[in-house]
Amino acid sequence: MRIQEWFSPPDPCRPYDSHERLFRGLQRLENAAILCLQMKALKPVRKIVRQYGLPPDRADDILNRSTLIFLQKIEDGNYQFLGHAPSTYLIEIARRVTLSATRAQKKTTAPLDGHERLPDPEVESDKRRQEDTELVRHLLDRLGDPCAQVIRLHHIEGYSDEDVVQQNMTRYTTVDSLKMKRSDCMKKLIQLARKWKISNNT
Amino acid sequence: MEDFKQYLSEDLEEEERAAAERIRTGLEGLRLERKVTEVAAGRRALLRQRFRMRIVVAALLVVTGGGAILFFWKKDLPVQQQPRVPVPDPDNAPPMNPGSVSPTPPGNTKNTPVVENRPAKDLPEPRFSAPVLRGAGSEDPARKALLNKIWYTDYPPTGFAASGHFEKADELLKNRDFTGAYVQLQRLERSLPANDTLRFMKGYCLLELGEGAEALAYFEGMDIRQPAWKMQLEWYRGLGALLTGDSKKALTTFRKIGDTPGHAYRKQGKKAAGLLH
Repeated sequence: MRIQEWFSPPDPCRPYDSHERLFRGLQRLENAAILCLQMKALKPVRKIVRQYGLPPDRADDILNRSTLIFLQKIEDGNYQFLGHAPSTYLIEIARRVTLSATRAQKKTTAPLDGHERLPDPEVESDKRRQEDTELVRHLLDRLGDPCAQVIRLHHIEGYSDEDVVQQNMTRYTTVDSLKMKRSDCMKKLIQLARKWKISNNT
Repeated sequence: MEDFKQYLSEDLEEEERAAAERIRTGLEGLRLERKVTEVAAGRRALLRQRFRMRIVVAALLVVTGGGAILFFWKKDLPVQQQPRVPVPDPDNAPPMNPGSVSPTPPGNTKNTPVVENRPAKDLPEPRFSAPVLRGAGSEDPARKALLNKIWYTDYPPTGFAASGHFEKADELLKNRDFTGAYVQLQRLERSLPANDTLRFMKGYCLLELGEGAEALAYFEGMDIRQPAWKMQLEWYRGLGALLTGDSKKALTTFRKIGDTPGHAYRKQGKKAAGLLH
């Protein structure tokens, strides 16, 4: 690391001088854009965590969880950019996630007068997504290599087929053979998910 | 199969469609999770870097502040019990003319001691150690230790203010860069007519560089031309003699200084004589 860099850490928000640019960066899932968003929200999130009485070391988890929810919303087209700072929305999500975490911590306390607390739809939907994520993680482990590997490289790590072939990341030496293998593997994965659903009745 | 939407639009059983939808959501979740984990690592690195930078800045501020406090605090301290040697204004110093007596510097019209020793209960230890010894006997640790105990050669002597051509050399001497000062004085010697200020400064440089014999040569006969400097020069001669290894001559000089009432270096002389004896 150069001394100059050491003394002046790079500012991740430099390329995103407007809310729109930041939003476009988030749409493209640029690391710098996500980092900029998180750095903007970090202090308020820490404050929220403190306000809700959670341990300060939970702030990082909550920020990551909230970022994930926000990015999913952008991916699904559920977040409409109206010119506001994306970090404001992230902070709002973080508030809900923190509240949900606080409720989970106090689950042992019975609600007053038999009134059930209403679940937050956003947090609930995130929970369902988390379940699906865990399911796929589990099924990929069961599927084993090379299927898990070809699916991971393309769908999770985002490598193009050309890169995978050129860099010899798998045993498949042509793009066509790689695609064909992945197609088979995906079918296997879906069948596994079906069986899993039947056996677990989820 | 590559495109989930296409796959899902095909005529599928409800169960299969639901399973494929869950896989799609799960894969998307894993992809985003990976992204967020990656960014979180970057965020931690960035925060660490910022923290380090803050520590460095704080340390620099403390050091600078401490230095400033020390500087101003030292400035406010009373003058040490070091001898003061008035040195004539170098620009007005007459060319060296052996045999002639230079005029007494301003402020010393009476032939009173030009060097005065401020009263002190105990003689403080010298601020700086003696130079590295050269020549025969340079390995003698006892001589080195003795010199360290009596090396009262603080610069500038109180009341001394170099000006004009000598400013640079004076600055270097204040920074204890004796080699640099010597080089500067050598240059001046080539361009200026010789004068006692230049010779005094050169002699002092040589003394601090451990060149006793050469220093003594520069001080030779100077007290006749500059009687106001006599006491200072006597002390330097004693030190110079000790540097050359001539302990006998040094002891005689120190005894003489110690036995002279009102001598600016009387205490130092007594101490030196006592240690040497």
